[in-house]
Amino acid sequence: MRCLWLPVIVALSGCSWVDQVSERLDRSGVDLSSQQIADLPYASAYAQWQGMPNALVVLAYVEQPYHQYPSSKTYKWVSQDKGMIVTQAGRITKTIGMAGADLSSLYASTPDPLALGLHLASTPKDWSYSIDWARGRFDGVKANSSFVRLGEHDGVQEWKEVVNLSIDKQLTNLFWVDSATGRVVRSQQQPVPDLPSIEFKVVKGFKGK
Amino acid sequence: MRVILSIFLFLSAQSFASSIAYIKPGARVGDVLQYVAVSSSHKSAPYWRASYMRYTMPDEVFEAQRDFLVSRLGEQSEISKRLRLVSMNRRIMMPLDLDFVRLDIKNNPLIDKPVQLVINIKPDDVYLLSDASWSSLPFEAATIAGDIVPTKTKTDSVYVISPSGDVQFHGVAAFNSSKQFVPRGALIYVPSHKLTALQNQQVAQLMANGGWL
Repeated sequence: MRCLWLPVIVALSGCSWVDQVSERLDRSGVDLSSQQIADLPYASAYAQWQGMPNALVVLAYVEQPYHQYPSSKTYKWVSQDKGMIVTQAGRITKTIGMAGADLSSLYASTPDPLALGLHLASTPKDWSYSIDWARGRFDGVKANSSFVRLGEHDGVQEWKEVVNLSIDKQLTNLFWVDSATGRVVRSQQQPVPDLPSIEFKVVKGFKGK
Repeated sequence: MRVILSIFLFLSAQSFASSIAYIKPGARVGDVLQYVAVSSSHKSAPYWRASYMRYTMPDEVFEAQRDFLVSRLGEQSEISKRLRLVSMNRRIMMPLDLDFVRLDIKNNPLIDKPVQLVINIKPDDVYLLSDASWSSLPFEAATIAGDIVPTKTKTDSVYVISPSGDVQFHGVAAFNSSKQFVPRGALIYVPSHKLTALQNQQVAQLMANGGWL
C-alpha cells in the first residue's frame, strides 16, 4: 500500500499506521517519566476524561484544515482503542469514538483567538463560530465565546472561555497559554454540552514543519 | 497509485453541488477519500455526511418500485418528478468520513467492484417534497420538522431523510410534534394521500438511496 505521496500530509500517513500506533499505546492509565517521554518515537499527548485515567494519544496526521477558519493545521491524535482527537491551535475541533457523542465539526468566518495568540493585547477576546455534533442532529449550532484571563504563573497564562450556544446550553473551556508564544500548552475542554471535559496536554511536541 | 489516478471527477448533470468520481476496483476507500480531500479547497471541501458510494448500474428492484409508485401518483406529481430524477443505483451504506475510515482497517474496505463516489459539499438548505411541490428553505440549527412543514399541510407526520441516508418519521402536529432536529441538507417528505403507508415508506427509501443534493 502506497501512502506517503501527498504533500500536505506532513506526519506519517497510511493505512496500517494507525494500527501500528494503536498497538503501542495503553489506555489503562499512563503516567510517563521524563525519560520515557524522551524515548517516545512519536509526538504524543495525554488526554483525560473527567474521572478517568490518563490516556496516551499519539499524533498520527498533520494536515491542512478543511474550513476557512480555524485556518491552523489540523493535528490528529489517535488512542489505543482507535479514537481520535483533532486539534487546531490547541482547540479540539473534532472527536471520533466518544461513545456516540462526537464533535463532528467546528467552523467560523473569522480566526480563532487561540490561533492569533491570546497573549497579545491586539487579539480579540470574543469569537463566533458554528458547531456540528454527531449526536442529536445538532448541526450548525451557533456559538459565541468570550475569553477571560484568570491569572499567570511561571510564564503561563490561564484563560477561561465561556461559550454560549444557540440551543440554550453553555460550554466552559480552560486554556493554559505560553506567555511568550501564545501556544496552548494544556487545556480542559468541553466539546459537547452536558458531558465531561477532556483535559489535553501535549507531552512531546511535533517537530515537523 | 494507478487506481487513484484513474479517478475522474466531473460535475454531475443532476446538481451543481454534487460531483461524481468513477472508481475502478483495487483501491481502498480511504485512499480514494484522501485523494478527494487533498484535491479540494475549503470552498469545495467534501461534506462527508452527505457523500456516499453507489454501484454503477441501476438496481432493477428499485426501478420497478419507482415505476409502480409513479403509476400510482401520476406523472404530474412532484414526487414522481423527483423519483424520475434520483439515481436508482444502489447506495452502499457506510460512513465516509476520511478520519473514521482510516482509523480502522475494518472501516476501510478494498473496493472490489466498480463504484461511483458521490461527493457533496456542505448544504445550506433543507428540502421539502410533497405531491404538490418541491422547495428548498435555508437550513437553521435546532429546527424541528413542525417548524418547516406549512401548517396548511394535511398531515400529522413526515419523513425526515438525512443526507447520510438515515430515514426517520417525525410527528408535526400539536399532539405528536417531534422534538428531534432536522439535519443540515435533509429532505422532508410529506406522505402522499394517493399512496399507502408502505408505499410512502418506499418513496422515502428510494429518495434516501438516490440522494437529492
